[in-house]
Amino acid sequence: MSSPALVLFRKECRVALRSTATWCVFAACASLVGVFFVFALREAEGGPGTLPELFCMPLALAAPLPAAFFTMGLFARERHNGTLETLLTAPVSDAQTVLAKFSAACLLSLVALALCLPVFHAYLRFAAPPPAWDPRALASGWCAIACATVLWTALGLFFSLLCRHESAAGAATLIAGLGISMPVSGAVELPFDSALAPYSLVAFARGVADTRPLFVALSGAAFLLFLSVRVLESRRWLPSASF
Amino acid sequence: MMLDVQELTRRFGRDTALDGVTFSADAGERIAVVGRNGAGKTTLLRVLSTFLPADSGRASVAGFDLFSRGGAVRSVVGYLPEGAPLDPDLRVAEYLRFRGHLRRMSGRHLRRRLHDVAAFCGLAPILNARIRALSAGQRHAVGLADAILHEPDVLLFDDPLAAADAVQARSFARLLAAPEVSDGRLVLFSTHDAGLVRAAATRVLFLERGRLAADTTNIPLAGSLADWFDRWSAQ
Repeated sequence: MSSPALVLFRKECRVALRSTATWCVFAACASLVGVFFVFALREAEGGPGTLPELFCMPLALAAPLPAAFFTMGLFARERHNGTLETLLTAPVSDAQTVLAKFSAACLLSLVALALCLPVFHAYLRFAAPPPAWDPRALASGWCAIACATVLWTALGLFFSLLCRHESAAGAATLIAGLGISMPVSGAVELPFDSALAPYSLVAFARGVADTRPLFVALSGAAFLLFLSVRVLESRRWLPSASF
Repeated sequence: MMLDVQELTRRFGRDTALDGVTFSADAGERIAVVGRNGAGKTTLLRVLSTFLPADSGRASVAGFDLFSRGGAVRSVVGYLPEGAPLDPDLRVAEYLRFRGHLRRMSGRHLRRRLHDVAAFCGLAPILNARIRALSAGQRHAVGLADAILHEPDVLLFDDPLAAADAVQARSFARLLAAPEVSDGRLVLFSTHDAGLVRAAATRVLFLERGRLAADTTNIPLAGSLADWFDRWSAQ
């Protein structure tokens, strides 16, 4: 016998992995990172950037994409199908529902990021002469980007709860994710702007372990999950049309 | 007492969907909730299924307080919302297994129940079919199977004949009155179908503008629901 949250988590993962669109997103994410990695290598020829740093920049830019895709349907699709009513009358709490769906989307987003690593491996295999690089720097950069992905996933889940259509939820997640991570210089500067900017995350791949981005990302994700549970609870007080 | 509802009130902004509804019911009863559109039938079932909270009043289901023991109530209630919403991406057996696991049913018990409800609801030939490929009647049968899978004490059906044709309506009335569904359980269903009330109900609750206007076991043998409403409204 499994806990209802685990049952829901497994079901979300199974349904997503069975979908062709999921594998297309995995492939698109790796391709995008690969193309931009090649551009970055050309731009930085003879420059100061280390190899993991050049790889982590496109990875950080691509991170909101899988998060937006895997979260956009979490609640919006349930509402569209009408299954939110059957889900919320099953013996599973609102917090368990939010956590299970978030964990599934988070895992899939991280898998998408992990599937980008073969691009880096392919470059090492074919580069002549073989470049020198530090695996710890790449691991450190990847972990920082994974932390930011946790935040994008929580943001996507929150928008999926607020929006009636999954495409609207996905678009809102992308706009918010890219807006937060790439603030227009000179425009309104929010305190977390620089912390979540790709160059801050990529600094980890340079060996600069600044804990501020991690703190902002993880505490922001926790706050968004808390808000999501509250939003789900408050939906019960709205007229039936809101479901 | 399987269900005890006292002064249940639910408002949506300025609209009062349920206005001090009070009634109680025992196991073995099959209660039809009838009323015009917007009378509060769906809201009553949604509140009793814990999907919606109430603004005031008290209710207990199988001895569990509806508002403080919501989790316990959900485990003893089987609920089929209007239109039988199902996950279209899953296969029938997979969906029922998922719903069973969600209610903490164990492997062997779940397999046995799955076999029983599939036979009872006529799902055996379509257990491996994708839900998106099913007809409205088949989807409805899956919804019914889901509601009775965990052998709940209380069954709530919201307008189960909303999309049913005449044959499906007759078949559903037969299912509702079958011992597998109603024995030892309380069944509460809302409907606009006088035939279903006559065939399956032992008691009728008539809601009018959120109020319980009539609560009777004298079910008229003839006439349409509109005739009944006129008679009960005039009382």
